[in-house]
Amino acid sequence: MKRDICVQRAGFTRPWAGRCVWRAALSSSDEFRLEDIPELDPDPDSDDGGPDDVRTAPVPAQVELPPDVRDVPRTAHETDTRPDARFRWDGAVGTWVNPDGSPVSPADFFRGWSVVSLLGIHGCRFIEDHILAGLALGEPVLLIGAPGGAKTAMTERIAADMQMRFWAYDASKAMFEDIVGFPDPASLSRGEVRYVPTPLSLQGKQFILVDEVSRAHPALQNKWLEIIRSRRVMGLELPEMQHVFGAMNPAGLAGTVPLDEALAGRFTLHIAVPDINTMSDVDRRAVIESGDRNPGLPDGQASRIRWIVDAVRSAMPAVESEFGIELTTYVAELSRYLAGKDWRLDGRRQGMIRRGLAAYVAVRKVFMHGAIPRSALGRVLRQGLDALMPFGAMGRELPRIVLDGANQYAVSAMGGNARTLPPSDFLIAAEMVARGRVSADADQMSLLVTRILSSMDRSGRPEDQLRAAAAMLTLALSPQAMFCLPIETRQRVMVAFSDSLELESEDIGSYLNEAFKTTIEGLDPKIQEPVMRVAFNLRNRRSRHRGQSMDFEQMLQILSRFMMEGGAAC
Amino acid sequence: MLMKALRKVLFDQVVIGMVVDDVRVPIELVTEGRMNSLEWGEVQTDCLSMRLSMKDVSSRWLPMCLDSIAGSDFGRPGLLIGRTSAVALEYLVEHWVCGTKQKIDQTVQAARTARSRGEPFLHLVQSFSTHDGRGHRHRDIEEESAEEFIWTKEQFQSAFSRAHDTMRSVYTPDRGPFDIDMMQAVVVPQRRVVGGQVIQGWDVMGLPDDRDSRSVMVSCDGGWFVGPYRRVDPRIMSRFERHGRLVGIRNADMTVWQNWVAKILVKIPHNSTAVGNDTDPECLTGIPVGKLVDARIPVNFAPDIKVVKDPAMALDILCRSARGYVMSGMGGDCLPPSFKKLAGRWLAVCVPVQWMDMGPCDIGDTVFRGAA
Repeated sequence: MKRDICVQRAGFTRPWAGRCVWRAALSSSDEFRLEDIPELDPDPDSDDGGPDDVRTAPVPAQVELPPDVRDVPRTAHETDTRPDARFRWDGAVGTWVNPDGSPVSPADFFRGWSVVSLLGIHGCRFIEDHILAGLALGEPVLLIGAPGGAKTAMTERIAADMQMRFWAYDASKAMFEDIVGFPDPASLSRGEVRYVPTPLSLQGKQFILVDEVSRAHPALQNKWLEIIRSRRVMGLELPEMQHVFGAMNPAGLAGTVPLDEALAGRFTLHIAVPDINTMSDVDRRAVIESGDRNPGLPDGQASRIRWIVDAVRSAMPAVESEFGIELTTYVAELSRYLAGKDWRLDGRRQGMIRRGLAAYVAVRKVFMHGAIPRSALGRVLRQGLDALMPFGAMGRELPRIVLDGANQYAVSAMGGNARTLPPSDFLIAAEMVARGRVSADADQMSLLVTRILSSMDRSGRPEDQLRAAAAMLTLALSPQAMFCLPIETRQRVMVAFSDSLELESEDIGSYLNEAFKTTIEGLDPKIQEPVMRVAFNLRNRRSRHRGQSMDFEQMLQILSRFMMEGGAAC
Repeated sequence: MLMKALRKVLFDQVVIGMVVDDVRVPIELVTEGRMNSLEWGEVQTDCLSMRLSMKDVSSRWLPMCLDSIAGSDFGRPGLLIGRTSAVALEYLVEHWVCGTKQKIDQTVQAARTARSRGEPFLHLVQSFSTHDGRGHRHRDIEEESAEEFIWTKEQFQSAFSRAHDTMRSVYTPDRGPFDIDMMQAVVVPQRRVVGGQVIQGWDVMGLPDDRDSRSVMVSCDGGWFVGPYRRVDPRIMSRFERHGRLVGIRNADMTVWQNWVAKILVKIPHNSTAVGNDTDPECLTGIPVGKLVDARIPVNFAPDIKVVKDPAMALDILCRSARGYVMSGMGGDCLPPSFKKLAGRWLAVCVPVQWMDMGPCDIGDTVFRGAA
């Protein structure tokens, strides 16, 4: 007898929880065995969950499956099954091996075990892949969680397992002398400033945690920024520092403040640490029972985290070669969609997302014996996204539905498929039409044009008017787009285009004067003239009909930016 | 370049006489100062066939038949300007040469009779002078009465200025009387031969009313450039100087055509009752929508422009038009009624220049020399 068992991770509504359904196959002997990695349903709307890895497999059939089966193995001989007890560290090769001396793969090593639960941290299985991705990248990681969420303990134990020199700084209290040491009087007498390091100072540290980063001492905020960004402080290089973690309480919690945008932008991963009150009963019991108990480290040079991180790093080139193009497309389209919803991602963040997703895919690849079906990539990326958006740290919670929509949109684009028009953004829709990447009927197209033109005429926010104008120009300047439109709709666009270019006779002189003084960088020279005329006319209309004086150059810059967003850059 | 202006032909101790004349003026002077022509054109492109009706004030003013104006200037339309209206009217009664216009002749005769009797006579010729308060800068010159050719000095000075220091006897209107959405432009008639067909049109040099920039917009053979006056190719400049005419362009932005390119020239057929073919003509391939305008406008012709003279094919194109736009994919129909009265004229099917590989900047290089 063989039956499928589906386990719904219930009770998690926070972004980190990620709806996820596991599949396992139950053999006739009621003993779980690893079945082939299930081919995941590519339909993102399916109720099915994300791809799972081999750590899900050994689940006892007789128990009601808990939501977090990997976190706390429900076996009769729990201690016997700890991987570091089942396998041994071969220091000569620097890897874990089977009792017979053959190397063991990370997937087999951690089968049924959460990586962080080996460190005595429970209920955090859902974020450990993100943490591993961050460690593999070596880029700053921000842990966001309520007080008592084991952020510090987890970081400390990870560092200890990796056998790195670690220090946790409390940014709200740390003073300058704490992080760089005391000025050396002898050096001062020579006319230079050197610092005498103390056990607390940054020099020589390989792994640091900047706790309470959102409440950093004002005098040190910029220095922390420098440390996190470039691993140096006051010109003092910190070459040994390999990992920088930050920690903060969620914005909105009493006494906490959102993180400054510049500082939040420096952390590649923003990982929401689960709160015990949102954990399953099993996790909660595990947390309560384990308390602060540290299960300790393996003997000798053995490291579990460093070993898996090395494996992830080794897998990253393969991910790059297998999925590199798709990842870039995915991030570009994701950002385009989010920008349309006013959740803008700057270039640095888009790069971070791409790197973060590549590392996350590599983590999953390692735990899935190196195989991620292409059809499952979309959902792996969706799970990876949970820790790559910077908005939560800044006090703006990105709605899950928006992120899901963006993922769906980007996954479609990644597969080269036509998508339905985004519901609200003219410019994105126009750009999609111009690129022929849209499947919409004549009514939808007509409605889109109606909304664009009415927004152009509506004198609301200048940005809205200019965005609609950019959408109109994007359509009008592309014969491909015009062919996509219904016949009568083409005419409406062309009439709007023609009217938008024509200047009042009395305005021609001042237009020339202003246009000569203005330069638009980055915009295709061929479209500069219509862009300038449209901006000029919109400015004048707003001025004449509403008495709102706007600077032409400002209007032009906004419109140019929108045009470039719409793919009109040279 | 020629322009219509007022030239001083009479200077008496009490009056000044001006007549409308074609005056040759270097274009550079127009770019330097506020010089406006007495002639203006009303351009309408919305009605498919462009209407360019040239007007000038000479049709509104009476011929100056004064015995003190001699030679070829006698009888030209113009103005009589006095320190006061009374002085000018008295001069009119004294010096008018009867025999040209019946109504004014009768009025002048009557005034002269009254004066000989020692009776008041100025009220009889009062209608030739502008009323008080008129002639100010917001006055619409089109509404001016044909007989009001006597101005006071004050009225004249508020509406006209000396054209340039080097042209002391030439006066041009300030922007004031013509302040009705008008751009000064030098227009040169031209003939373009395309596909064996001669297409009449105009080259235009727009002179924006912003003397600070001293920039001009030049269309030459359909190519456009916008840039400083001094960078215009001397050959092009010479052409405008020799053959150009300064007119005020009203109700139209001629410079907008630099954003369009003509892909098809089509001659409107006479047979307006036939129905076009349901299948798109081949020449509309690649054109989802095109703006239909008079072929005389200063628009660039695409290198691969198609000239359609065949009435059947022209019908196939034009029957796919609605409100000035041709759209491929439309079913065949009979010609819209608006084409009936335009039969035989040439229309251009224009698309945005960005649809072509060639942009306005490329075109400009042929008109202007040197680098920026």
